[in-house]
Amino acid sequence: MAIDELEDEELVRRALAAGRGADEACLDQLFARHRARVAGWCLRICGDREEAADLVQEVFLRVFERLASFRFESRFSTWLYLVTRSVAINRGIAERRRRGLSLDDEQVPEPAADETPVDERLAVEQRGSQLRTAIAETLDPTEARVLYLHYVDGLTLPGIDRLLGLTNKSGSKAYIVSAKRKLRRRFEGADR
Amino acid sequence: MNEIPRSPGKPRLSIDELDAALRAGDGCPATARLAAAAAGELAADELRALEAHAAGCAACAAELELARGFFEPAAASAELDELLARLPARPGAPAPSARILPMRSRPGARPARRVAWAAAASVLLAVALGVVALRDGSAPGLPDRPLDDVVRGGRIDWTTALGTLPAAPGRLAWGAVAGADRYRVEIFGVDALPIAAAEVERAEWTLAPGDRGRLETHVTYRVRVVALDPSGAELAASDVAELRIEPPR
Repeated sequence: MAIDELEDEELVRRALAAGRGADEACLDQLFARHRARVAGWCLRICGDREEAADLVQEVFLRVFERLASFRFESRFSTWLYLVTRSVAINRGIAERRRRGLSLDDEQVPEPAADETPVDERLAVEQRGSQLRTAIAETLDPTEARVLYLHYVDGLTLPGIDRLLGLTNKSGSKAYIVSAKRKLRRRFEGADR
Repeated sequence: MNEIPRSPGKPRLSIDELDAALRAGDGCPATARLAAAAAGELAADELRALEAHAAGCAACAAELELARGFFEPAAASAELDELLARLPARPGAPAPSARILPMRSRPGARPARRVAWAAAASVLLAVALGVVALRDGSAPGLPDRPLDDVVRGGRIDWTTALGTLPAAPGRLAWGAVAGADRYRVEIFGVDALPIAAAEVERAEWTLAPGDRGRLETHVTYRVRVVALDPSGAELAASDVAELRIEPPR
């Protein structure tokens, strides 16, 4: 069977088992099949062609370096997505931390890094419970999703706009402002 | 005041706190299951259950959107065409323009990991040669630890149970190493990237709720601990152990 007729998973098996020549051919085939998918997603998330190109290369380097981590428990493309997501998100988080957790260019304040001192854990748990209730009761689903994608996954606001297809004037920024206003109102009310 | 709301005098909200608060309880499906759903890999009943959960869980709904963006066909655009044209036709080949991609100029961007595909080719060759070794004994996907990297002491043994557990462990412990100043312990995800790590002085690590929360069910993680001397040199290392959370049905 010609190499371009093989399933992705069979290409991975052959790449893992074969010698150099066949290995490269299988990896080439995987790259040729999936580069557009990875590039399209990276472009949507980054919005910057050069950064997306850089990311695509990093993703495939990691995929080929870590091919033996693929357990054949899912399709190869699903695993490829997990690696792509992980590389993109880790890069975003590393970048924000390197920049001192400042998103001034987007004028959206940033939660602190995950460095909770031990003596604050109880307060944190209580606050977490209150926050969960407040989010469930006051935010609409899009506001909550935008909060998650921006603060937890580290996506940029334009990236979220493209991902969710937000077409309102201020896009995801409007949802973040609105969510924070609602939560602040809720917490201020609870403090009174 | 322009922050995520918080009580006066309390520290700012952490990313982990917000993450936990945006989840509908502790029963969120693993990211891999959400990806499988977006990829159309799940059976109809599991897909329905997952979508029902995501309808009330902002975190899972967002992850589902993120994954669907990957599996949906990318809209054709001149920008995407130009991006694809910048990529080499095959790994190891020079880019079509026969030049390394230009450095990003966006202010504040980290220095690009500018990898020439020529370097990629050598990585691929190394992978091809190293795969068999990785499949024999050492944990797949993790950097192999050269034996001469361990100066003295040798192997660290885990004293807490690992393997398949019914719930995320609250604490990991291992045998103390004489002369160790501290220990670096790391948990790696399916993509071999660290998802949680700490340096601790005692031969145990109590996982923060945020770290435990990152351990998803039905996912195999790998855990490693390294003993360090005061200069940071490695004294000993554990085997890379597997950790998987399988709640009782």
